[in-house]
Amino acid sequence: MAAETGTPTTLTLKSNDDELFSVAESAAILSVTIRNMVEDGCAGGVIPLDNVDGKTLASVITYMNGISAIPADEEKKKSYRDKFLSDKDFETLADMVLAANYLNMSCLMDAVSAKIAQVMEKKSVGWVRRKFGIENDYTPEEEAAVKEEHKWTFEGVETDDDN
Amino acid sequence: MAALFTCDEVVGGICIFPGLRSYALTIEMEGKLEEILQRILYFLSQKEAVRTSVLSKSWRNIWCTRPNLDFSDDTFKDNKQQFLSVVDTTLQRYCDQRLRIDEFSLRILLRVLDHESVSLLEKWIRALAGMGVKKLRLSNSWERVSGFVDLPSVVFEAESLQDLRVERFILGRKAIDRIALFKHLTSLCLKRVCIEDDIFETIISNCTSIETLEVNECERLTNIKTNRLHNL
Repeated sequence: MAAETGTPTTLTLKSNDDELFSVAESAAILSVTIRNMVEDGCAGGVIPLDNVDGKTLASVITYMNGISAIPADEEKKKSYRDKFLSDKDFETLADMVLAANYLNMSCLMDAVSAKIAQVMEKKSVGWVRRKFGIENDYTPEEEAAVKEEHKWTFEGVETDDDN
Repeated sequence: MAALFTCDEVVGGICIFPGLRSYALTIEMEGKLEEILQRILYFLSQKEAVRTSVLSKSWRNIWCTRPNLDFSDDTFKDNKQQFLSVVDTTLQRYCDQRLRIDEFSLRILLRVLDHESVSLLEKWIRALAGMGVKKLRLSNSWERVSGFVDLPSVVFEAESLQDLRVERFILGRKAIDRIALFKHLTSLCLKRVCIEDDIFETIISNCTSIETLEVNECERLTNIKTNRLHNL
């Protein structure tokens, strides 16, 4: 381990589309999933991450490097996370939340979940369905009944042209 | 990944993100999808969270079990009765189904003569105390000090509290009549609270684990002694 030898250890991570990435062990072990693999002795070879694609993994590694370079200052870490996520579109955020969950990175998971929640605010039901790829399996009558039951939640919400 | 959540052939009965399907099939996904969704829902206001019930059948009840509730009467415009009823029925349901509430946040307009709201507030906090609430935020939207109401004493009986924020209430002797020993309370915030020095001191001496203390615009409070707070 890096702390024992004094030389930084580098890990090789492999995405599910076979891209390889080198990353400092000290940054990579922000992921509990990776940390467990390292502790189980996988660090010598390539660490396969079967549920993350190359594009998302590249982004997660940028985050790992960025956040681990910040000393223990929660304010600065938070502002780094906010900036990191500020230019991500919904699809990227969706990929990130899945990756963060799989990699077991609770801080990233919370930051991305909060960002998704923020994007969802006041959005129409149709918008959320489209973005999340949710198939509406209610009959029109059932949907009207659920809406009626929670009528108060629809005040001030964007409306759908196609809904 | 094109779209996040699709709904055919999903493991565990919940299908939220369609792109997750391959993921769902490769690892034991039971509960995972719901875990991710619950995390997203955690960051929504109550209004936004409840509205997700209209998305599809599998979304219908996901919001029902989230461990944090966040109510504000701002979202009900002038319909105070409906607001009280929504909060009341929601809490009742959590009690009936023995669900957990870790965090409860309430912003409400309370005036001295508003007996119904005040007694409901007391009832709600009693229920929350029984459910082991950890984080409690109570804010009165009434601006003028002259109309503030007393903080229900049951707040100081909720031993499970870890984080308490109170805004625009009177915190008098009655409120601490049966004050518990708050072993887990690490964060206390009082904002525009009418409180005298001796009451404050009694509270502090029962909350020795406090790490974060915030006191804002509490005019009658002149002297804050924190020497017993070793973790501050």
